[in-house]
Amino acid sequence: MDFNLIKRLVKLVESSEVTELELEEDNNYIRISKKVKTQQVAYQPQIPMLQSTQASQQNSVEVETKQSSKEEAKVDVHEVLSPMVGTFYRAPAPDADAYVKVGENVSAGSILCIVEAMKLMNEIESDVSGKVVKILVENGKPVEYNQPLFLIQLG
Amino acid sequence: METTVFTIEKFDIKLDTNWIGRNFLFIEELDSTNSFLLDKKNEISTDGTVLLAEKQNKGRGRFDRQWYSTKGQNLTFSILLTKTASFGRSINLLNLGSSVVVAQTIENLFQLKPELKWPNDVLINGKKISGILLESVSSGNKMIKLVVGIGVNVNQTIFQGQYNIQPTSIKHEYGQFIEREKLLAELLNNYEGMLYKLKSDPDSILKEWRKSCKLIGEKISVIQLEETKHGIFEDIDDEGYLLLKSKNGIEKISFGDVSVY
Repeated sequence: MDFNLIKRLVKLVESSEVTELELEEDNNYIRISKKVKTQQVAYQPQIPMLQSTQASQQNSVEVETKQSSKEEAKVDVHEVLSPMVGTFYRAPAPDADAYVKVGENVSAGSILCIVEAMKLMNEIESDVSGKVVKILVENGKPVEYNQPLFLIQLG
Repeated sequence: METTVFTIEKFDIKLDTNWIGRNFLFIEELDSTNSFLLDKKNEISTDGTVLLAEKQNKGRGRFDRQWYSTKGQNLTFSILLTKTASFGRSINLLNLGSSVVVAQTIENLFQLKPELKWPNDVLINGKKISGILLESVSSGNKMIKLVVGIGVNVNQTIFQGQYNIQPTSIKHEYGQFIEREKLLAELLNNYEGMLYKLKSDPDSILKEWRKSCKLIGEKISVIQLEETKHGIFEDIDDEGYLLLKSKNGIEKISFGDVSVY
């Protein structure tokens, strides 16, 4: 893939609100992702400029390129994203068992977690069937809109 | 103690809405009105459906805390909303708006002065008169349905047991028996009005909420999962989050139990 094209794509992701970009062309695969850490930053409202500068400095852009192959395309991992800004809970109550653990199989419609935004308890169901391979957020931590929460290996 | 049968005709005649409560379900006894509406087996999907129960066996609040209510005396109901995408980001203000509706309805009908505790408890003289719990189901990042569960202590005057916040009821504060049918109709009329405002002028919901919250500017503590935070309740922001001012600056609070410190 053309180096200049990659550079241009990185710039595009950096300057936009897009946090992740995947592109596949002629057996070339590129994935550009941006880490945005703006959640729970204790800020001084008197100097709003400082907050935004800090936030943009914390953004880092990761570029991943690889040759894609037919086999890899088959091992499909699905990301379950958060529908809202809130707090992530793995169980219905503090002393209850977690809804799911890594390695467990889930079907579309199985409850995976709760995201709470100010007493709106939002149960998130899996939108696919497969095996939970990774839980990306710790219990009780804040999550952003569309932040990946679970990786589910389809099947 | 006086208990009454809820008469749907009396309620219906006072209901003045376009869609909220037009599909009205009344079930004498069930586990929880929220759970019933959310349960896929029950196949309830009409936007604006209202489910009223006389007795909830597993009435609850946040994190499965129990909500007790004596049969025939109070209101425990849930409103189903299925077109939540149309509210956009303002969906975050729905819980504040719900508590504003309950407070204003009680104020208008009974000239009482309810106060709001962040995010959505309604108190009179420091005692709890209403609790609200919003629950929703999403498939991945798409919200499918949302239910607003509202419990109002109406005619109950004896509260036994231990409570996080001491309860009271409208009758206890107002001194007279309350017609529940009229109260529910009025709550739903105002609820629909609030939903229109949520779309057209969400800032007005924030303004009304602030007006009824007496804790802004006070020293408070916020109990969270593993820690308790202390500071001054500075304000709520545009999305309804509590802004807590402490020596570390201002922190945005998205959950927790608030009390005066």
